[in-house]
Amino acid sequence: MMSEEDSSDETAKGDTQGRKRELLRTAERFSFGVPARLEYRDAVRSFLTHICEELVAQKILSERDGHGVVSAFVEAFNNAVIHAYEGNALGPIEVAMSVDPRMLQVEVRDAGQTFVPEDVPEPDLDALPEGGLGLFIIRNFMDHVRYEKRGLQNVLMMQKRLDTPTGHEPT
Amino acid sequence: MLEINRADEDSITILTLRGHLDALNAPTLKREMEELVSQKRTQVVFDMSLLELIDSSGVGAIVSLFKQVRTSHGDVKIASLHGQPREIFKLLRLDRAFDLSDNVRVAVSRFHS
Repeated sequence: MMSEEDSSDETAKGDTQGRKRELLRTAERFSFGVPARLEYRDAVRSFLTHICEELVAQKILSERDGHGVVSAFVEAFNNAVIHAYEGNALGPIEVAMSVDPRMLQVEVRDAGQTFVPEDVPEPDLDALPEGGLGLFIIRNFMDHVRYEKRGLQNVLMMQKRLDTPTGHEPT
Repeated sequence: MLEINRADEDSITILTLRGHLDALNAPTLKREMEELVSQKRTQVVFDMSLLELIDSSGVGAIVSLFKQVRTSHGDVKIASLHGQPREIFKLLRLDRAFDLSDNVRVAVSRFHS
């Protein structure tokens, strides 16, 4: 570790970046459990928006990608409420987020009806569809998406890669 | 939360959307749009300058109105799209389907050109 006496303009700049990385040195995890109602979505979305804004400020996530991550989460939560639980708050929705120097991950878990993502057709955008766009939005804004059954839960896992801060390779 | 402000300027209706246009609030906009269609007001400008978030349900509501007014030779124009709603429009290629303007005045003037 560099001592303060070694500090110069260059190292001071490095320290600033190092401090930013300190925040993400290990994975930080957040979890929420809410009833399956659309009214509760924005409380969780606000938190995710805060995380994304922080990553944008640290220049490891573009503003566009930040909007994409939030959009994907909104669609995933909507799908759980509207499709998995068919609009009835029959169970909980759990949202787990984790962020580390390489990845932002968001999982949306429900205990409702399972669906087969492969059975959802790609929308024909030229036909200006009025529905069936949620999964398309999720897949196109995120880098990696996986839907699986874990015990009694359906889990939609979404990942977004983070950029490496200039001059710092991930360890 | 979604606030909808309607202003009629001659044959053109300006709908200013404030807040979130999503699965929760899209039915509110649909009701407003049904009223427009029943009044045969088919020249519509959406002012998106105060719209913070849109989801696929919100997009569906706007596309639905677009299709309805087009059958009556009307149009829906979009003004001041920015932030998250802009990214959704780009992803869904709606920036090609809709006439986008930087502000409401430009959007209104395009009905006269």
